[in-house]
Amino acid sequence: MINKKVFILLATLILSSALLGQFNIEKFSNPQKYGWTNLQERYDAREDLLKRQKLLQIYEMKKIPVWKNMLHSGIMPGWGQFNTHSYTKGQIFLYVEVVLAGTCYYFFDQSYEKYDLYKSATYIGDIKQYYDDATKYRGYAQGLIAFTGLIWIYNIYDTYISTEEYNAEIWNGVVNEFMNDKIEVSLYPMGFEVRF
Amino acid sequence: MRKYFFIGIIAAFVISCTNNYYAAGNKLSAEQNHVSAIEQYDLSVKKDLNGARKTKSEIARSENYYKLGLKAFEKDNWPLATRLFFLSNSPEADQYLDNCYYQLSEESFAKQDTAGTLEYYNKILTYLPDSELTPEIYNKRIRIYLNRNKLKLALEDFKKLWENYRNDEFTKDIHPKIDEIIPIVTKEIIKDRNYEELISSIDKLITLKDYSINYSDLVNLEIALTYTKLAEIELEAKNYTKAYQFFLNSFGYNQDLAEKNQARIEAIKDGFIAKGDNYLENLMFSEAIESYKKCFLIEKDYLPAKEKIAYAIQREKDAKEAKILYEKALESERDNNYSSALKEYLESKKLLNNAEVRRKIFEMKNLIRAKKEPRAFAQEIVLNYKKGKLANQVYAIEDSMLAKYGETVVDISGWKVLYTSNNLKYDVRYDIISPYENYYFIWKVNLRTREIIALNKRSEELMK
Repeated sequence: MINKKVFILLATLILSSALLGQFNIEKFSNPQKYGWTNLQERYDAREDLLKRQKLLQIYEMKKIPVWKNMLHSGIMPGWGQFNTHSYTKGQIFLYVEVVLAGTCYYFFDQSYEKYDLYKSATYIGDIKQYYDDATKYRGYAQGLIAFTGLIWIYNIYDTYISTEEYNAEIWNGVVNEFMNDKIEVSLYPMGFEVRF
Repeated sequence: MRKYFFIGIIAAFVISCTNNYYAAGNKLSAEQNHVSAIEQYDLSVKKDLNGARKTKSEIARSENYYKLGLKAFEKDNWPLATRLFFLSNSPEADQYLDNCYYQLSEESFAKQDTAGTLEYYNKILTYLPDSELTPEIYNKRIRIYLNRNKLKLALEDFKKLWENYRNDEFTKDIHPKIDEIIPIVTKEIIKDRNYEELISSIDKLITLKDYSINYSDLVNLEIALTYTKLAEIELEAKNYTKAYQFFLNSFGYNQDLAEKNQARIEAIKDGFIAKGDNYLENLMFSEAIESYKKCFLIEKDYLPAKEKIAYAIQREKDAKEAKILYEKALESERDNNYSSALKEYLESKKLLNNAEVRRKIFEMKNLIRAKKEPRAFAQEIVLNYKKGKLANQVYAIEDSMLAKYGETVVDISGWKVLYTSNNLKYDVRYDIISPYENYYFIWKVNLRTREIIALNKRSEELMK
């Protein structure tokens, strides 16, 4: 009985989702879907797009490629942020990673030192003490490696966000500069021309 | 190892958070899934923070609508193709959009839905001006307008055809139809009467003339007549320059009217000259010059007016000099220096020959004579009165009396000149006396003016 109810419920859900997901051609091809109530508004929108299209080439020259910048930050944390002029963030990422890596190195070093002492120890009390110390420092180091890795990944993610924001700002700047100041941009197959 | 795997999972999660609708749209577009691609581009336009990517999405979206539109177009689904090309909003799409509207207009026309047909025509003509169908659409729309007797609209459309597609087949095709309505339209245009309407009707008629094949003469005549009307209005308002310009404008359109208008212009100029002459006659020099100058409003260098003005200026100068001489002569006259006064009056007359100076000369001559031999002069005045009329009559009476009564009985006094209280006035007498009848003739003679006044009834009768 319960199974039947579950089946009906599932069937209803599937059917309704299918109906909801059905393609509505009228809605899809509604001429007013972009707010153009007449041909003049449509023509104005086209003119606006055309103007923006001309600016894309300038934008492409000025923008920073996202994946390339992420690679920079992958190689050296904070590099990508420096590229997007987020200097403070870049410095924080760099210093944090250096400090974490240095600390990590210190704990590994301590761990190996204690391990060496453990290997050369002859007194049972020392053997236990050195082993515990080596294990403790190794644990610290491994924990810090994981934390450093997380910061490193976050640094890459932040580079993506920063670069996106930076590029968005670049676009806004190009639009403000060329569309509001009535500067004319002409596109040619071999490049573009800017007239002030 | 598990720790590194965990880190990898986190990285994948972080990357997946950065959703890129534009890239997704591009992928779907490449797979020919244009509908889904458009949906992704729509999301990009709606949600993306990067304006450049939004712009790219809009461009890509347009391209995908265009491709969908092409598919609908190939299947002759005009309404859907129209909507998709409309949404594509690109010049490429417009190249098909006009065809879609055209097909839809044909369907409306077939259903005798004129309003619908005109709406589609209007869309093409207003918003797709670069369409290769434009001349054909104008042609068809003109036919509809002509059928519905909307001649003004038909002409407006033909004007656009004429200006932009003069040598197009569709223009040539409709041209004779337009020519047929020219007389009707001309009549409509010339109904306008006030000044502004006349001005605007000139433009309309000139345009109409361009379109005319068989009615050029008619339109030309109406243009010339309208210019003439405008000229007459300007004449009425005394705007002679404008009037002349309108007359001149009329010349190129109708030969007969041009000749009439030329004569009219000459008459106007002659009128100014005649009026000026009249002023000059009355010694109103500045008024005369002003009148002559009006000719220049019509013709800038009108020679007769120039000559008249020069003459008027000279006359004015002479008149001033004549006045000075006249004043001088009056002075001499007051000093009883009549010879000098006469000389000055004569000089004044040379410069300004008017009645006053002539009278003065006459009087001066009389006064000189009166001063020299007043009695003889007084008698001479009477004897010469109306070529001897008085003397002849007196002598006739005398002869009659002598014949009737004989010399011994009739006593004749002869001419006697007597002083009066005024030294320039003398009484002249002639008496014929007999026992049976008497005649006493007596006149008072003014030596200054040679005026004779009869002092009794008989003398008065002789003067009649």
